[in-house]
Amino acid sequence: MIKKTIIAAIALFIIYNVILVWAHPIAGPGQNQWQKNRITVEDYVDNFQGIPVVIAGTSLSARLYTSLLPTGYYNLALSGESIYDVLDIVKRCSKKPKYLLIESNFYYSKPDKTVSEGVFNPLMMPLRKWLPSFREENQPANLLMPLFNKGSAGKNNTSEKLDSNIQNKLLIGRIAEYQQVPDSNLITNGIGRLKKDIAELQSKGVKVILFEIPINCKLYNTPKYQVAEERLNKEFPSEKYQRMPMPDCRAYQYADGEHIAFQSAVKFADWFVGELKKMGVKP
Amino acid sequence: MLFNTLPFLILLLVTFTVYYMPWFAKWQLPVLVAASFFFYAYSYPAFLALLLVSAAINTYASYKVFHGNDHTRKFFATSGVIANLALLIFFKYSPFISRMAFDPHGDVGAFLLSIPLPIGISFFTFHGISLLVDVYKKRDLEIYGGVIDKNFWKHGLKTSLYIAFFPQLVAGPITKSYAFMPQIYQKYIKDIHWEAAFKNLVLGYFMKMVIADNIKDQTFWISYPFFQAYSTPTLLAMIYGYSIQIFSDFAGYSMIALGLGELFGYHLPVNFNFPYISRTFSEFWTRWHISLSSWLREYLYFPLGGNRKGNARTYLNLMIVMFLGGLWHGAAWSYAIWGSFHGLALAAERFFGVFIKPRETKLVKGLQMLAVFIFVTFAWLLFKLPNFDDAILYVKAIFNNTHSGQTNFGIIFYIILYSIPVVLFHLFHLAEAGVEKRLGFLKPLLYGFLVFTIIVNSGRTGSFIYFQF
Repeated sequence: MIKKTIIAAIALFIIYNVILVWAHPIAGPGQNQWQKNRITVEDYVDNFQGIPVVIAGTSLSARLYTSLLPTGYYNLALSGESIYDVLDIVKRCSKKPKYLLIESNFYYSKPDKTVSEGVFNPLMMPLRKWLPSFREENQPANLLMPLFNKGSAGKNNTSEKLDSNIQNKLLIGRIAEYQQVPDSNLITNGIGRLKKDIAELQSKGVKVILFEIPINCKLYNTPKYQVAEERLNKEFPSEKYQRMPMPDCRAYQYADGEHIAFQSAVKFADWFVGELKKMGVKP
Repeated sequence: MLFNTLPFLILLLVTFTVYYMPWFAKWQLPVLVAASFFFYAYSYPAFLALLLVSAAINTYASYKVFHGNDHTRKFFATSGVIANLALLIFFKYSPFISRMAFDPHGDVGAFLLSIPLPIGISFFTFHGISLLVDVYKKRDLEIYGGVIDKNFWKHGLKTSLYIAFFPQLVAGPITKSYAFMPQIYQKYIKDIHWEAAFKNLVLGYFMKMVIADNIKDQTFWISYPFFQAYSTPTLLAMIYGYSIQIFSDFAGYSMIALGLGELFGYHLPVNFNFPYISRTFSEFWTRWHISLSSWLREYLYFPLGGNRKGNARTYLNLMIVMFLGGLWHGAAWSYAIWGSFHGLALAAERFFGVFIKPRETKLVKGLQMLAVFIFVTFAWLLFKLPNFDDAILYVKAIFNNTHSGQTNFGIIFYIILYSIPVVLFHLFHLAEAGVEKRLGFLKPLLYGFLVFTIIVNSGRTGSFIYFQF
């Protein structure tokens, strides 16, 4: 029974890879945010290395889909991860972008590196190249989704039902959370890490621009934001580092106080690209 | 060290090879003990000291109980049990005690809060207690006559293996000493029951890596404040998904443990027996985490008097056992409340069972199963949201968000998709006991499909839910 089972598993594996190569089935957007991250990173590493403008951010920037941006941009923002995980990926790639746009909202978050270590795993990298079933987007369950929900074939969710009652509840939770000042060691370590990463990337010819994603206006006047921002402004003065102007928080809607609503992402993308043009960023 | 990681695979291969090498035949026991200690120390080396202390206490106490004179037997048995409980209480419940009885910012409160929770402590202390009670009661004396060695050091090695055997060290199954210790003798590779080991490993890894690890990233949103943003259908799907996840995670772990045990010649007790087809709560507890419920029955419920001291005392005993069983899972009131819910359900079922005798029709049976499943599923919410207020808020959101909140098709779709194998697993069992035999030539194809999905459709690696207990 064991031998037959192994033979059956190998046969299924071969058949599945043949189907992937020949039929190119449409993949869903990813089953969850971590899988979406993996798909985004695998796609970047395997197909988009060297693209001129790359966004390094967290879930705040992740709503700024690549499809909302002009050709030559790639949004490498990862939900639930820190900017250092993205910077690690950019550093590991042999081809570097011309411009790297780094989100500075949560510069003090700690790196995790699970995503980059998974994608750059020396065993999995060649396997992924030759056997498409090892690409995250080709998981059978991810290929099933578009069969049941045609709308999921594209990769972007561009609308969400906003309920002011729920938004308020979530905002109240955020405001309470923003009363806590981040640990000073965390901020100091984040500053050091960001400076080091920027210096390393600049030495390889990458032009770095720091930017901030807007959050609900009520969160700006809170201890968490104020303390972190004050330190950032002190350590990364605009005379020394290229920084994008602050966006107008009143111009957008927010799903939970912190994340821009999908509907507002399009508007923000326009403003964002416009500002970059003014700064001379041309893909 | 997780069962689904490369370091574990390497440890398993090395241990297995050395264990069955003819030159090491006499060293099988030390090899397995050393591998178990390495397994435990891999992630948190400091906790190994605690495991060694536990093994030392139980070795000495059980030796003295068995070989000591009649006057001191009771003393050593009692002291040993107290020492095990003291270790458990100190390491597991200090932060809980601190929050209840001390100022968390004071010296004592802060100290108690700082005590780390060693992984698997709830399991290996229960092994220690089982050993001492069994030896004291001279259970299966003729077997024990050959098991509690006259040689103290050899007994120490055997006790260490019983306490620390790596397949069951961190999350069970909790094996009673009289079931495990007699199995310690020289093993031969020809005696391995390969098919049983293989089936348990494939099913276990499938349940953990394909079902539980994939569902966990959908039920992740059962956390405050995120869940408030979802609509009633999504909230219901997530709580159903968590019920499937916790079963797949723990049953999967237990099956892997059984498969690994078989590879080294040890038969560990079955821990899950299709729990979600239970028609009563008492039946549920004979099917879910069987090794814990039978341990609690044998070493707590029966000594308390069980059901032999009248109805009132029986209800009280049920409540005590389930309350403590709840606290065993975690040092928080939510776990005690979870246990008490089950205790109340068991007591109510016993009380009303005298007056109400439902008819044995398929419809009634189905409704009974559904009722038990819904109760059990909602009770799991206290595992996912240990803050009781958050759990209440979640239930409120189910009722309030009927026309508001996000209905996330993806979450609902994937929870349904990944729960299908678990539902089929239960339904096949319900339909006919011999269904596996009747699968015939399809069986290798079915297991082959499971292996295939483990390779291409595993979720993001997550630790086992029961590791935290």
